[in-house]
Amino acid sequence: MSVVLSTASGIIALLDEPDNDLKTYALRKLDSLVDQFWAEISDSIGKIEALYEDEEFPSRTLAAIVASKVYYHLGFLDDSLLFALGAGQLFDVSQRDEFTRTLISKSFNDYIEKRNVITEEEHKLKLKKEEEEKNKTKTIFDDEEEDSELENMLIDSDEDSEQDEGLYEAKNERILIEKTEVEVIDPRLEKVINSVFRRCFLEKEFKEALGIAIEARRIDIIKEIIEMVDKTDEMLTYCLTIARKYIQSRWYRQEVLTVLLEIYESRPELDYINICDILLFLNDVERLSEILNELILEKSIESNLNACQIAFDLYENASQHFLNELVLLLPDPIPVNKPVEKDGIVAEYTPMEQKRLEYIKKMDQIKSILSGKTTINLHLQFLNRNNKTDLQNLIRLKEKTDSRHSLLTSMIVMSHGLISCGTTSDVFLRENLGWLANISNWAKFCSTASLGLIHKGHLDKAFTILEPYLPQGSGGSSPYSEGGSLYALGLINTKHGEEVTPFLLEALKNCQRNNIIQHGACLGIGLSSMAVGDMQTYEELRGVLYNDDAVAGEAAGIAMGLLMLGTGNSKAIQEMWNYAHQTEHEKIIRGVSVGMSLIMYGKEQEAEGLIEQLYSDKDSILRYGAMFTIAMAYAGTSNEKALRKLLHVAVSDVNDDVRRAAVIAIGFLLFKEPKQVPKTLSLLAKSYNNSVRFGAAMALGITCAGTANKDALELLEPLTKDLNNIVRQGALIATGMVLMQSNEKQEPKVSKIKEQFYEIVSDKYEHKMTKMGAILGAGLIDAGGRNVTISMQTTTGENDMTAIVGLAIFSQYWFWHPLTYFISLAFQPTALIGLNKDLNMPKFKVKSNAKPSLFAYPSPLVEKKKVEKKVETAVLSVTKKEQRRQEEKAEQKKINEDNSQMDSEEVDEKKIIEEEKEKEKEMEKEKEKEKEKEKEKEMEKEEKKEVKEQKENEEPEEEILENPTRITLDQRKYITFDVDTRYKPIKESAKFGIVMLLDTKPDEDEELIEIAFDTTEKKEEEKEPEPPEPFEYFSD
Amino acid sequence: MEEQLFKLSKEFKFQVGQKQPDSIACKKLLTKLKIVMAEEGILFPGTDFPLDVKNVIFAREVLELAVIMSVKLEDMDLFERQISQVKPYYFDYGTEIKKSENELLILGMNLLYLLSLNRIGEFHTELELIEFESRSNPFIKFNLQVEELLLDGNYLGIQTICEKPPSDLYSVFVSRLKLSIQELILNCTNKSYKSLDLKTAKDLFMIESIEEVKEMAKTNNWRIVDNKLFFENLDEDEEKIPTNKVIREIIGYAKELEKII
Repeated sequence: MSVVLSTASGIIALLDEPDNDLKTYALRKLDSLVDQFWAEISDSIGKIEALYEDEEFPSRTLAAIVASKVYYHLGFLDDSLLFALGAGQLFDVSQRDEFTRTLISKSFNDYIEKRNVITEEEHKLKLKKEEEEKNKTKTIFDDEEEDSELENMLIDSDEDSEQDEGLYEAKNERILIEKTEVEVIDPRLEKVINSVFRRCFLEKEFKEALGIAIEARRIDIIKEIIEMVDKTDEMLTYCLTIARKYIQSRWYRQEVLTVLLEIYESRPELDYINICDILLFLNDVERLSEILNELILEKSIESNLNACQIAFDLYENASQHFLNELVLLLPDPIPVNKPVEKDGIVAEYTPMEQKRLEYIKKMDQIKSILSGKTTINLHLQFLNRNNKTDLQNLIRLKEKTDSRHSLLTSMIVMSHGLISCGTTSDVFLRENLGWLANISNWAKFCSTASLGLIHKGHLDKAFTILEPYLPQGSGGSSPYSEGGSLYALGLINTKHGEEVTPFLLEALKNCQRNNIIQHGACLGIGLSSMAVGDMQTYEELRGVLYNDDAVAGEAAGIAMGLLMLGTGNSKAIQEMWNYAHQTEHEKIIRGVSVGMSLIMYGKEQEAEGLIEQLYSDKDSILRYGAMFTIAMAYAGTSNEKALRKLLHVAVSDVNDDVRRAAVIAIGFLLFKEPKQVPKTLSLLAKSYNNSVRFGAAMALGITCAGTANKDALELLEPLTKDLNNIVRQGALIATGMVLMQSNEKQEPKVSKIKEQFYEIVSDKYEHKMTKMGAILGAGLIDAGGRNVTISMQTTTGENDMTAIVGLAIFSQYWFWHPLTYFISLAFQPTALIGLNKDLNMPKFKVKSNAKPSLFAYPSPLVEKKKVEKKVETAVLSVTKKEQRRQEEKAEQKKINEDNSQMDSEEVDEKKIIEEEKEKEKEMEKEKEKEKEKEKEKEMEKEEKKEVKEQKENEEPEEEILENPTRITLDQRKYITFDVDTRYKPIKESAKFGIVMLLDTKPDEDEELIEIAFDTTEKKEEEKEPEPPEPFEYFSD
Repeated sequence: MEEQLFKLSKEFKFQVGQKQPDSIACKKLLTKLKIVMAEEGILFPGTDFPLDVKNVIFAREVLELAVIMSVKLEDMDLFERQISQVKPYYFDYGTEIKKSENELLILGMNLLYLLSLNRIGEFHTELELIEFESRSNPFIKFNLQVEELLLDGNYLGIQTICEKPPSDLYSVFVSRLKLSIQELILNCTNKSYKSLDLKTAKDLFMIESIEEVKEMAKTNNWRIVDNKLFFENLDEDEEKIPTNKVIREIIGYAKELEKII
């Protein structure tokens, strides 16, 4: 016979018994029944609590656990935890029931929160003390000085120091008082946490434990875990990524990294690449320079390669300031004298000298890598070599554009600039000289500047290319092309303006206050001396600003920001702030406020003051600046507080510009988690407010660029059909950014969207604002010869300052179109470039374990277009659908390898066209085959067979890629290095970017890849692509 | 052990059986009994394993005696406690064993106890637990009648019915009931009349003499002028509508609504 209890009231009534044994008995009963009768028990929770508090009651812990469970059921977790802690042993951490798990997670949350508060407090106290200590020593030092100088003052100073001591004591007392105010962690809580850690260790849940330990700021536990684990390597990397990505507090992050560094350094095999990574984080230039020097001094090729790889990584991730310091710290070896010829015998270097020579060579190598010139050059090589520009697309758009519209023509030129960015190919411009001749004024400024984009990174030829346009002093061409060329100079030499900056400054001085030239020169200076922080240049720019000319002033404001980028220079901020209030030109205010935001780049909390100051201003442009300041200061941090503020402003500010800026800024904060962004922005994208919608589109574009993110595209699609022209424009540009480097196979929308661009441009009734968006979108989708993507983080996931700044200024294009070019700063070549020890590209293969078509370049439009040209244009729109169908079929046939036959159904009235097409295709096929045959000949026999088999069957599952190759973002995970037997990458995790290769057969001859044009050496020997002839302008 | 239990329970029975039991001795015995029972696992046995019928009946008997004891001692706290302790033996454990003879007596007392405290809600809950057939039982019926009269406001009726309670044990609760009725009437007159004749007041309050009325007046701070009783109207705070607060909140909502994207 079994009984189900319907009430616990009988047992509860026992609690009122005077006898303790009975109460204990009742509590024990209740403990077993609490899950069922908690509601009933909760009525008498007071009694149970009273029992717990009664110090004479023998079973207090029992009372505590019952109370804890009741509170848990009631949902009062705070109380529940409090009592559970009081229950001591009875609260068993190893239990797996809901109650225990909930309470443990609750206790962790509490603990982490408290630890964070406490450690922050402690840190502050420590800083304070250090400061006081410093001050104290300072005063003592001062006193001593005075002592020695004036003995008479001795008595006074003694008194002083006494006073000082008194003060110091008082301060100490205050600190003590503060300390007692600081929350203290319940030792019982600590005990529970520790026992949970032990349990984790027992059950080998190290990663979980590590995560918690990091969050709870328990460095002792972190150390313990890493020492305990067998797979230390894995754990260390895991710890490193967590520490970098998720720890928000700067000093704590550094502390964790220091610990990691110690562990890394204590290991027998030094992992230089990771060590240097950490050192970079810790900003420890000295150690880094030592390590680099050591690596170079060491004889083994491996360590030299390591040094190069580290240098490349450093260039990518470190700030300009850091790199400059590093180069200065690296030793400058004394050059070796040439051995003197003696008695007709050709003197040779002594072995010692040879060693030194070697060392010098290596050191130069490293320094040139650190200066970035090597990387830029390699990227230029890559972009030029792998250029897959499909100009036909652009030509198509151009034909549909009314050349009388200066806005749209300049947009075409801009679009071309983006498409051929860095490729040094200016065929389009040269073919359309006549057409270009029509453009004038600012459009001319833009078109000249686009040369800078095309030759971006062509550092050494910058002057040669731009010579025809640069200000000559003696009248020369129009100020627009002169200004544009100065801007172009800046674009080419972005961040590497040692040579051009003086020239630009000169031009700024000699332009006789022509505001157009000033404008170009200012932008150029800003670009070329980005983040240099040079005060002299700053003063020059300030001079331009103070002239109070709207056009020049705006550029000067931005340039000042670029120059002082990330320095937080308070003098500059103050001056700019003041001037923003003096001037009446909106353009200048805007330039200045954007400039101020740039100065605060990456300053996080330090920028709070300025943000507050700007945001509380009644001038909406300054509030607009405040939003960008948040974007810059907190870029990539996902800081919750800042985010909340932005969201608030985005829906509450009275000014549309401010709201738009706030929404765009959200993109800057969240770019590290592109998948989160569509969710965050989905509501804003449906806002009634045009500006907010535009901002949402832009933010999506910025964050999801090159990812082909489905959610983002889904949000953008309705926006491209929005009622508002400007919103459509933004959405088209953003779509272009999101779909960069995608092909039809990956994202079927690609061809549709390209068609949409074309349709919009050719639609007579479409607003020109929308057309502008379509043209720019078309430029972005194919940017950089289809070899670049937009990304605000480096390959290792760090903030890419240049890119962030570039996009921030790009988003000002709304007010000033020439600023569109700044987007090129965010272009990141998606390349894998393998280098040997001499920094040359050897012939080297990697395997991509995915179907080739998945990551292939989109097929060019060329041949179709030619056919269409032959036919009357009127047929064009009718045949479009038909063509698409045919395209699909043709593609299928391609796969099936039987393109020789045609279905009779398809042969209709457009027979001729198709036949022609087919012929051409076949021709092309044959050509391809020939090419492939050639390749095959080179390959070994086995491979030959394989390829043939693959050709006969289906599309191969993998693809062999030759160095240097394009590897898109999504492709990275498919890359393996197992095909090439000769070269091995020195850094195993590297699957993209610049990779140093270890030659396993150093005795054999190396096959090097021909260099398209050598920019660094042999300047005279190499032929340069001719600069386009200066085009003539009809002066209006 | 069983012997000890048996001995204790016998002694306890004897003590309770007396007309005026010794309070201290009884309580001591009860506690001792309970402790031994708890140790033996007889008190509120777990539901996981089969019950020992003998033990359940034994425990029930002890707890019933404890209720009767508390009534005799007029210890209402103890009474309430004991009632809730014995109840599981009627409803949960009791489903499988023979009913106790005292069950209805004890439950009836509980009902009357609740009525006397004007805890009508609990009264009905308890009533629901009692089987319908048992309602004709005099112990229960009595309570039903009292409750009906109480609802009607027929206080006189209660007075008459209470003269013949079904058990001597009920008298304790009956007198408590009367007191609480008096209080009810007092509360009402207070609000219904500004002044009352002393004589009418006497009848109304169901009091024997006018002197008692005067005494009551003293304790309640009523004035007596010319053989008339004047009630001091307690100042009743009418709850005012918090106009300003409501307006402020509504405007706030409107503002927030406008902000919604």
